[in-house]
Formats: sequence, structure tokens, C-alpha cells
Amino acid sequence: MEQDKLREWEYKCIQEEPPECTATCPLHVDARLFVKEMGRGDREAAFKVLAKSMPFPGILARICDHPCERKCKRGEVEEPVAIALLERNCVEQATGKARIQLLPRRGQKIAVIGSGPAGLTAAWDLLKKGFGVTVFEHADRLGGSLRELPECILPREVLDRELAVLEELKADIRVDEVIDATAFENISREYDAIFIDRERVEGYELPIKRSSGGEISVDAATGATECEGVFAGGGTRRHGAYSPVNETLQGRKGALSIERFIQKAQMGAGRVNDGPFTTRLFTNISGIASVPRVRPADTAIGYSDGEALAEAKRCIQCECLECVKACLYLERYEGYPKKYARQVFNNERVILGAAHTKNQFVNSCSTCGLCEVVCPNNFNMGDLCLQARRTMNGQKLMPLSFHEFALKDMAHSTGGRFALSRHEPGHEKSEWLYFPSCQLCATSPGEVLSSYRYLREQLTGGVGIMLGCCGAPAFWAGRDDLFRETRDALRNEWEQLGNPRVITACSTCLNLFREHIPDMAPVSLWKILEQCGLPLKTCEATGKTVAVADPCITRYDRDTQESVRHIVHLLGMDSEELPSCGEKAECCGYGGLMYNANPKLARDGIARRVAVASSTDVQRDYLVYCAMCRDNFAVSGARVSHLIELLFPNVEGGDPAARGWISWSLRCSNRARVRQGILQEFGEKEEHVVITYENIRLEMTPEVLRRTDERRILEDDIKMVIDHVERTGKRIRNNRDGRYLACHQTHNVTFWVEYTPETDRFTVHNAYCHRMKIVGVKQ
Amino acid sequence: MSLMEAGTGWSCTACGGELEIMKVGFTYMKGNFEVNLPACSNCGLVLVSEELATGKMAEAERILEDK
Amino acid sequence: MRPGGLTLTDRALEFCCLPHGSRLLDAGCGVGATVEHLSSRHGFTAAGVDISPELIAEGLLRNPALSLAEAAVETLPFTEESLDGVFCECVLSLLDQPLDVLLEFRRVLRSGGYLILSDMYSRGEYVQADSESGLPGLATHGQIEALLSRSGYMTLLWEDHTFLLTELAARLILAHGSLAGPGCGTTRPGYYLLVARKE
Repeated sequence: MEQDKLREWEYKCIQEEPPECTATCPLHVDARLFVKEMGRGDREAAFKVLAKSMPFPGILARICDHPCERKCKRGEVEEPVAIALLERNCVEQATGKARIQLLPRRGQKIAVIGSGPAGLTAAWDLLKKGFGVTVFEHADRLGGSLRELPECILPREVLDRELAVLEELKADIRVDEVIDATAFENISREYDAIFIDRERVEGYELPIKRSSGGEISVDAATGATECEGVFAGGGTRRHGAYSPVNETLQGRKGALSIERFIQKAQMGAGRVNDGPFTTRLFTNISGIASVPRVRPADTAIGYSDGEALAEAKRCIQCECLECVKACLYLERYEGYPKKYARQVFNNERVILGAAHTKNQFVNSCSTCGLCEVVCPNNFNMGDLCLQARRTMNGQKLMPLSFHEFALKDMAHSTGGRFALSRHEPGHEKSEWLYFPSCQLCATSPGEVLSSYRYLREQLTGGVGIMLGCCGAPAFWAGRDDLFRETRDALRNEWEQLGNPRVITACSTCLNLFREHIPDMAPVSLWKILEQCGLPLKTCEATGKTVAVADPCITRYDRDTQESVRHIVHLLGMDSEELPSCGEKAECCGYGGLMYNANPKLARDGIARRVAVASSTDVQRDYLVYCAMCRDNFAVSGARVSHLIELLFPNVEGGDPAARGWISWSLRCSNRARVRQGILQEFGEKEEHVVITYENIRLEMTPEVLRRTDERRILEDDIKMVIDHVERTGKRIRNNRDGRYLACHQTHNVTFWVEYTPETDRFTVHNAYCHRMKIVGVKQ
Repeated sequence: MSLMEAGTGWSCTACGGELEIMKVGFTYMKGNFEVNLPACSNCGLVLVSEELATGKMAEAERILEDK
Repeated sequence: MRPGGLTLTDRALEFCCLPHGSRLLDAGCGVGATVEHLSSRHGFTAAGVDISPELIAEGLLRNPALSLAEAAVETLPFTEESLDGVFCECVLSLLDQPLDVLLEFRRVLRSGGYLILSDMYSRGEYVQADSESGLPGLATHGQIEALLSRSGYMTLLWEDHTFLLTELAARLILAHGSLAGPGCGTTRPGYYLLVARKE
């Protein structure tokens, strides 16, 4: 990933964008944080937040016209948070003074003419920046229009106390000074720049261009007048729209412009967000209960402490996190996409000899795309992670363990035990080609064979069959080389069969073929069944209600989702819609190879989903149409049927939903069963080359079976160990109970088996494995 | 299955000798490691217990893959 | 247990091309594994100092021929400009005042002598020492080079060998079980090899 690509990714995620209140505030006060501190009862901390952005916080917090409240998101629920009242409550009690960090003195002197809010702010900012400041005011005291505010709003004592800070900052205060043209000339010569508070110069004879309304003309963005080094702002009161905070902004703008002028820096650079702007932040307010604004018992005093606390707690604390709310994976890693993009970027940087972090993070995403749907900007973590996986593979830095088992399983599906492609018997051409998928054959071998028979009955022109894997595991592992190899091999086979129309029983295959071999014009089995009509002997399910769980891959395939629901109704059942359905479908944990790279996350994910369904009164059976969904729901203990089990029931009167989990070993032998079943039906004989260990018979208790399966140890792996060991005699004996313990190292994994040989079989007591290679005993 | 006291309780079926605790070398992801484990000095057979394989070893492997 | 064992020592020697018989010091030598390696494998005249009398005693017990002495790295028992090279592994990051120690090394090194450091550092931001948990701070690459510059050295080589740290972490887990190490997230501990020359 290059820098500019990183910027693109980061830009999409708006989590760090300011909330409405801050964006609208001309000074960008962090009102969200301020209200949070008030909600915690920490007035000192709250005051610090104000003091960070506000000049004279003791004044402004009392008199601000709070444009923030107009945009407060709470206002869309019922009423905006009373930020202004909270500010008043804060500054009336907080004892902290604004701590002003002065920059070292620069030596330049600025003249501020007029001490209304704009002029005072300009003085404040310029003093903080290290400039010498002289304030000229024609009245006998500073403050301008501030002096005209009612005592109850801004007590004189507070005003004077706040303004005294200027003297602490070593400002040169000149009251009772009217500036005429001559004085102005002198000032222009003596000072390096001038800020004019327009509120205070009515009637002044200044050699500066004024508008037809009599106001000094300024550039709206910078406050520059036509005279070089002379800036002006404030005085909006003349238009009848007096906004203390806007006056303040004018002063702040002027100060910044003066600083740039003196430094001879670019006047306009980076000032797009000076003043109010519209934020890109999105905050979801649906589901927020309506709570009316707290009204002060005594409006003259404002909020009591209790009232302030209650009102502050109404604040939503705006942020986005829509994707994090929707996805356990994003929640688990305690960040959000913008942060994650940077982490992925850093993870890719190869430093000599340095280890990589975050490999598991990149490999834990299911790539289901739910984030894209809920994100206002369609950020897709899946794309980010897949890209990262490809890069890691390209640089040969992907630790094998993340995907090895899944790719091993895929190799079984593309290997001699399963892969097959044939025309329908008695046909030399195929109009159609059935691709039932490797995983559905593993889950429901009998039903697959039945469904193929049915297709041959219903469709003309010849329905061929192709057993194999579409390559999804390689795609998800970021192994482009392997994916392309698999896909190209499939395409060749398909072309050999005469480019038939492909029927897929799996939506992942459907999706991949559409994307990567579009000529196949693939169609889902469910659509075909809708058109042909359902088989006669479907299961007895009339009147039942099932919860349809769409696989995540059908997110944008409304068509297939509808077909499935139609079939469900044709079967006489009712379908209940789950929260995570349709476009919001969630992954069962198989997608993106999450189950291989991060099995705990996958388990927790499915557990969370199953818990949701049981929150309704009646626990519904799940109806799925993805083989891996069936398996994962079953492992978590839920009752679940695959649609194909209901359409082509294996056992009459059986209860597919009660079937439960099946082992990886059984999945492999089921696939082989499908291949053998087809060859048998076609009347083909096949010479099966028997590998020595296949004849070994194992005996395991259900508990041992389950444990070894969870560790992804296949029965074949166990047989290999025993076979190897029985031939070489390299095993260890437990003197106490006579059990044997032995190991065998394959490419990357060392398998251990604890067993006892019986007359015609081996009892397996335990099996485990590790990836660390034994080098040997050190002398 | 728990590991017994130092070396006792396990024998090598190839040579019949008892396993003794010895230094055993491992390698993974370009790193080299050593653990004291029951082993047969004659035949080079080594005993990695389930506890070690699924516990500290698995954790060490994860660190090497993801740290 | 140092990350990489003697790997980095050899890497540094390969880089410096010190002549046979050079006088080298291992500051913070522990039981003297590096001193032994330098003397026996490479034919240097090597000595080691460590603050721990127990470790020194253990080292001498194993190999009485080694020149090991109990001393603090801040006050080395050597005269000015008497050494050709100083090795210092995993010591500086634990010190409050590394500058003092670097100056002391400088005192005993001859002009143009080598200083070889290997230690932990922060690949992210500077990490403050945590007196509560006793965890030392981690300086950044920039801070370390600045420190060397200030104490009168010129850096000739900087290499990141963080993998050795990972390997060390894995070894510790194999030996002792789970680590409660510094959290991930913002701290990114790294391990460096640095070779500098006294100016």
C-alpha cells in the first residue's frame, strides 16, 4: 500500500471527524469533551477544555450565542443539549484560571484599535503568539459592547477580572485615546501591523476604504483591508445580528492573518476550516430514547449542580463507530477503520530483521462486507485486509499456520479423491453443468446426489456434473497464484464440456464464478428449482416457522434471497426475518478463513448471533442455504437445516435440524462418497489406489473424536502417525498403563498420538500437534 | 495425560531404555529454542507432552507468527 | 538470556574488523559468556565487569582463566584510553543516567576505539519508565543517536534486530509460560545493534 492509497482509506473513515457542535462553533471548542467532563462532575477539567479554545473563557462562556446548540444532534431527538447553560454553570464555579502558555517574545509590535470582543480576542491571540500588543480604546475602560450586557449575564466584576489578564500578559493598554487620521499615520509607522475592531471605530476618520454602509471593507477570509498590514474585523452588530462568538472569530482571524503577514507566510493556506464548517461525522440517533431538556428551577441563577449533571448526561457523545457496532471483529481489536488502515500500512513496512505485528488482525476479517453496508462512506475492511494478505504473500511473509488447514482442505477438494467432471450418461454434450460445491458435498452427500438426479429429470439437453472447489479459500488467503491456478483449471474443464450453463448450489461459488468466469453465466440451484417446481417428496414441514439466515455472500444478491424464501413458502413454511438478514447478513465464521486464522473469534461470533435469536419467546429453527453456515450454527448448539436437506430428505420423517456437528474427517469422506456415488450411477469402475495407512482402523470415543477434530487433526493424520510408527518401531511406552505415544512430522506440523494396539484396530486415547520442529537431542 | 517425574515412567520401545530429561532443540519461523524434555539418548526419540504442545509451545508459536 | 545470544556480538566484530589481540571490555558481563567467546573464539584480550558479585563468582568458577571483576559500569577499573572496544548489551536501557556511563566508556576507550551497544528501544514513541511496575523506559532510535552524539561518539552502524526479541519472547514463554510484558498497541519494543567510534 502506498502513502496516497493510505490517505484514501483514512479519508473514508469519519470516526475522527469533529462532532456537529465543534464543527459549527466558530472557535471549534471541544463541546463534546466539555459536556462529558460536566457529566462526570469535573468542573475543573471542563473548564480546561473551554480555556483551550476560548479567549477570556470567563467572559465568553457566559455570553456566547451558542450556534453549537442549533446543530446539536440531540436536537433531532427532542431538544439540543443546553451547552450554554452548562458553560455558565462551569465558569461560575471553576476556580481554575486559563493557563496561558506564552511563546517567546518576537520583538514585533502590533496595534489593536478598539477593545470590543473582536479587538480583545485579537490582542489575546497575538500576545499568546509572542507579539507585543498595544490596545487603543477611545472609552475610559476596555470592553466595548461587552460593557452594555446586563449585569446578570456578565457581572462587571467578572469582566474586569478577565480583562486584567491582558496586563498580566504585558499588553500596553491606552484608554481614552481617540485615533484620528494623524494618530493612525503614526501608528502605521511605529507598529508592524494593525488590527481594527470595527465595532469601535464608527466615526473614526481613517484613511481606509469603507463600504457604502460605512463599514471598513475587509476580505472575508482573512480580514485584510486594502492597506497592507492593516486588518479588521468585528462590528457585525450594525446589521442587527450580534454574535459574541462571531465577533471573537473575527478577532482570531485577524490575529492569524497578522502572524502570517509578519512571517511572510502564505496568507490563505490551511484556513478552509477557519470558522464554522459542516462536519463529515455521522452519528446514528435511531433508538435514542427521548429525554426532555432539563430546565433550571431558577432561570436567574441558571443550573444547579444537580441539574447541570443531569443535562450533561443527555449528551449523546457523538461518534460514528457504525461498523464497530455491527461487527465483533472490529469491536474486538478496539479501534476503527481509520486506525486499522494505518496499522495495516505500518504492518507492511519491511524493516530489516524486524518482526511484524498485526498479522492475525489482518487475517481475522471474514471479508463479509457488512461494514461497507453500514458505513456512511462504504469503508470495506474486507478489501483492506485482502489487499494486505496479498501483499504479505507476495513478500513471502505470511505465516503458514493462518491458512494451512483451509488450503489443505481445498487441496482435498481439488484432488483425486473428489474432483470430477462428466457429461450426463448417454449425452455427449451438456446444456447445463451442476457444480454442487466442495462444502455442500462434505455436509450433505446424499442430498447432493438426489438433487443431481432431480436436475437430470427436469432439464433437457444434458446436465453434466463437476465436482471441485471454486477456489474461494485461496482467494481469501490472499493467495492469488493458487486462486488463478484453480480458476483456470476449472475454466478449462468447463470449456472441455462445451461451455454449459452452470448451476451452483453454493452462493460463494455463484459469486466467484460471476466475478471471475462470467462466461459461465452461473445460476443458483434455488432459482432453477423455483422454475422447475419442487420435487414431490420434500420434508413434512407445513405450518412451521423458520428463521432464514442468509449467508453473508448473498448480501447484494436479493434475487437468490428471494428465491430461497419463495421455496420456503412453497414448502408450506413461514419465514421469520432475523435482524441480520438481507443486506445486513452476517458471516458464520467461515468467510475470509476466519475459522482458521482466529477460531476463537469465529466461535464467539456465532455464539453472539445464536443468542440473539433466542431473545424472542420462541426459539426458531434456523434455515440456511450455505453448507458452512449449517455446520457453524450446528457446532454452536443451534437447531439448523440446510434447504437441500428439506428438499431432498435423506431419511423419511427425519429431523435434519437435530443432526449436530460433523467432523472434518467425515467431511472428507463424504466428498469421496459423492464422487463414488456418481461413478457408480454412471456405471463407471474406478481403480482405487490404496495407500497403506487407509486400512488402519481407529476406535475413538465421541469425546476424543470431538477433541481431535477441534484441533483440526484428521483421522488420516492419526492413521499416518500410527502407520509410520508401527513400521519403524519408533515409539514411546508409558510404563504405567502400557499405552504408546508416538509422533510423525509432516511438512509443517508434528502430530502426536497416544494409542493402544488391539487385535484388528487401534484405540486412540488422544491426539495433539505442534508446529515447532524437533531438531534433536543436544549433546 | 500428565508428565511424570523426571524421565521415569517412559521407555523407548526401540531400544528398551528409559527416557531421561535432556536438552532438546526446536526451530520455528527462523527462531531456535531449547526445552528440557524426556528423551532417549540412544535413539533420539523425544517426548513432547500434550500440556507443552497445547500450552507454552502453542503460545510461543503464536508470538512468533504475530509479534 | 540475551536476545540472539552471541549473534550480535559476532555481527559487530565482523563490522569492526578489530586486529588480533585487541583489548576489549564487556560492560555488564554477567557470568562472562561474551568474554569467553571473545577470548577463546577470536583471540582477543577480553575482560568483563558486572555489578553482581554472585554472577562474577559463578563465571570464575566455571572458567578461572577469564578476566572478570566486580565493578559498576559508571566507575570502570581501567586507565584512560586503555581499551580498543567496549561491548555493552542490555544495560543502558535500565539506567537512569546513560549519559554518565557513555562518558565513562569514552574515558577508557582509546581515540577511534569502538563502542558496541545492543539493547531494547522503542520503534514507536518514547516510552516513559514506569516506577510503579518497575518497567524501564524505552528510548527511540533518534534519542539514542542523539545521546551518542552528545557524549562524543560517531555512529557507524545501526541495525534493527527486533526478530531476536520475538525469539527471546518465545523462549521465555517456553520456559516460564505467559508473559505479562508491556502491552501492544502504541508501544512497539524493538532491539537494536549499534556500533560507534570515539571521536
